[in-house]
Amino acid sequence: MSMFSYRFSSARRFVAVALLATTAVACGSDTKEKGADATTKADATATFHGTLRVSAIPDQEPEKLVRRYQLFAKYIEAHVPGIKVEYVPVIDYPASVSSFRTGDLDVVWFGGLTGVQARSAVPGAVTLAQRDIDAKFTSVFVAASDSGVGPIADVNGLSVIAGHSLTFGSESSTSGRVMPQYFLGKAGVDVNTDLKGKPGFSGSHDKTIALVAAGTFQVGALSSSVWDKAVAAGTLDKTKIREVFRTPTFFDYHWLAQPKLDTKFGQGFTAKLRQAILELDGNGDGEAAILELFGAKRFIETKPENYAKIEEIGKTIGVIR
Amino acid sequence: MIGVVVAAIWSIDRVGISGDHFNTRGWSSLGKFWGAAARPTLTNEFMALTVRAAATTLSFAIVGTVLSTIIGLLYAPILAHRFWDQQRLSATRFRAARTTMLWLVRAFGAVPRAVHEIVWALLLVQVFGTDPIVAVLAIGIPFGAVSASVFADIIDDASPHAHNNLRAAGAPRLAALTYSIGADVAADVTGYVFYRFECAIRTAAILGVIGAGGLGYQMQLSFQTLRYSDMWTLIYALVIIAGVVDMWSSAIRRRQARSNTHCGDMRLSPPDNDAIASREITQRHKPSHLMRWSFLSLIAAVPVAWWWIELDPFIVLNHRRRSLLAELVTSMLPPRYGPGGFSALWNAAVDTVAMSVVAIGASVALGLLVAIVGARPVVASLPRTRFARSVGILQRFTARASGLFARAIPQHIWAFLAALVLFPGAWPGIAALTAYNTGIMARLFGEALEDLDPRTEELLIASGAPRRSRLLYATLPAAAPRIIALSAYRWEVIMRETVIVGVVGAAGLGRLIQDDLVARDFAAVTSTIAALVVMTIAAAAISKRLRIAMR
Repeated sequence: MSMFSYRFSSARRFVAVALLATTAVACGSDTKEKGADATTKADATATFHGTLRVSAIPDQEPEKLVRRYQLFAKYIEAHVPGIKVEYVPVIDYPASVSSFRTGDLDVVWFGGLTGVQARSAVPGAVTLAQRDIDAKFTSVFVAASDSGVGPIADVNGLSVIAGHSLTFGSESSTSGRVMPQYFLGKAGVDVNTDLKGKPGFSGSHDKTIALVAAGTFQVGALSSSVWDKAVAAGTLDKTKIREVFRTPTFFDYHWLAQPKLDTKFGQGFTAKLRQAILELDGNGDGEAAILELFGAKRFIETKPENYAKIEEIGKTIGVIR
Repeated sequence: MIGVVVAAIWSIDRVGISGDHFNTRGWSSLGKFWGAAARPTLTNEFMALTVRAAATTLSFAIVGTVLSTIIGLLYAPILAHRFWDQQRLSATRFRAARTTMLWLVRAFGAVPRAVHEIVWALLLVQVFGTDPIVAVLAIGIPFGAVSASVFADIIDDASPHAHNNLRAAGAPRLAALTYSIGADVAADVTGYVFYRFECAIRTAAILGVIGAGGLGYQMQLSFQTLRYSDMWTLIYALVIIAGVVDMWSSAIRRRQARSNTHCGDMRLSPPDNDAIASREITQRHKPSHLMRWSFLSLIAAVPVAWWWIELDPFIVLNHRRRSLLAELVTSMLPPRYGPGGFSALWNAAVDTVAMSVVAIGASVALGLLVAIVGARPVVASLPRTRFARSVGILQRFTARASGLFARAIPQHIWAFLAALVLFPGAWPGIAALTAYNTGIMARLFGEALEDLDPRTEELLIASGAPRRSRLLYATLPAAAPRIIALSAYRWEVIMRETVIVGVVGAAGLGRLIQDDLVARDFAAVTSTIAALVVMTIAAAAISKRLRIAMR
């Protein structure tokens, strides 16, 4: 992790942990001296301890993610007492899964497919929550204005994309690759043989927009949430790129936690963390800004079974084996 | 010769030439990239980030090189023929056992060497996450194996008398080796360490692909957001580092045997007679001041580098990491084909060969062009007008600068650029390998041209031969054996490098590894790596035969 952020790099982290430990000991003895009534109060708010390493699949520009997770980190620190939160960026989708697997990340915002991969790599991993929009998530197909691809009425209409150049996002992106490839397949388009050239993998939704707008690819497939935000921001050149199709819905992004966070951060931690995420509803201080960056109104419950369909599709296109 | 031509035609046919590979719509993006060259980001904040990233890249290279040297020094003695000398135990049954052991020891060294650093890194992140140890080991392990084989050759080449005397006097094998030969080979070994260091810097920049920090990583981040101005700041930083290191290592090698390859597992003994002769003359020289000074600075830099990347070597002993390693190995064995079965692996392997052949052909042609334009005139005292002289200087500068740029930009960044104007497949990979290796070949060919005996040129000038005839009938034929030997050697290196461009989306076995890793199918990764190892070793054998044939 220290490769990315020298703020929290290991040696300095060691010093920080040592300092924390000393203060913790000092505080502990303080409470004892102050008497029993303080202890009962502490029990009521169940204090935890340690640094929670939070990460996310890098589906958008790194700066956007840093902003989003810095605010999110502050929120969690305020609502889960005693916990420090560190946002750890990763280079690509597979790296988020492998770093979750190695235990270097505690809680990760995964996509539908990477979530399935991560749960199979880390048995017992806990699905914490999803956004309201993730239960009915969609992909959009966007096209360069001069591509000749116009509005598409239904899934079968995607067949017009054959013969055009197309870019996906990451290879393991649910809304940027897996579902679009699945729907294209339903329309009879084999992405490996029927496009102009092989499909590109831009790496992220933002870059897919950029590459289609620049004309590098005629068609792109990406998360509707990212697209809608780009449209709302008004930064797109509408003479160059436009939406041509919105797919049927599927389950997508969700929070996934390591199985043994309670032993690491204190009894009841996982439940408390889930509660804090679910209570993020825009009413409290700064909550609206976080939700806006997540493109959602609130977080809701989810369960592993929601992603069975994605797992099945992932197997058919070979990203889950 | 015929074989080479057939291989070239077949390869071009395999990857296919047609306008369909060109994505004509991408030229504007590429134009924006080159346009940004004049506008690098120069804000204080970004400059500071660039300096920190450069320090990280250098630190990985320093610590990685030191690790590889330690591995090399430890393994070389048992890899040397001398260790397996037949003098004492000459009974037949022992001889058979000894030969078996020798082959085992060699195979154990050959495999880590054949696996590219980036593949090591991709496997190591599965165990260590993004800890700096990944970069250090990914450089240290394969480079260590390469160094061991080179050091073993150096040991075998050293004068045998002292060693034989010690052995005759009954000294144990290792002690005899250390005391007799250790002192003798010190200069060659240090020279090689610097050569490795130069390679390690390039590798450290490529490791950005897997998220190791440093310049390559920052470049990849900038590329993800298409921030071309940021990219150029980072590219200039790499160019400066590459330029300084080029000059430095040339200076060292000029005082040392000239090793005329670039970042492969080339033995110091060069592939052609000229260079072997030059080595025999120089190799027993004592280390120069420059080298001693450089060696001391490298040693002094180790703790600083260590501190900067905050390396904790004990992570390898960590219980959790060890069990992750065990689980990774278990998931990799037994190897299994990916979803496409053997035919997918075979096709990818054939693509890899075709890509490497087209790339070496193109880089040799372009590299030669750049080298000829950029080479210093062999005879300095030509009477020329001031104007002609300035034009000459400008030409040389442009050629040399473009060569330097071409090799300063890592292969994966070239691949991203190529992917803007070429559809995914073999061609963006070929373009990237060609761009980078043109820079390398230009440098190697340049050295080959400048090393020629100046007297022939002087004679021809005196006889009034024009420049073009001198080039065609004297310079090129004279340099040809070395140029061909270098090309054969470089082909083998490019074969290994195809994996880098594959990982970022081009065709071939690298692409297959990337697909396997996305699906976390480690058993399939093993079969792909095995194919790569076989091909790398085969390419090395073919290239060696080509070089011998050229003598």
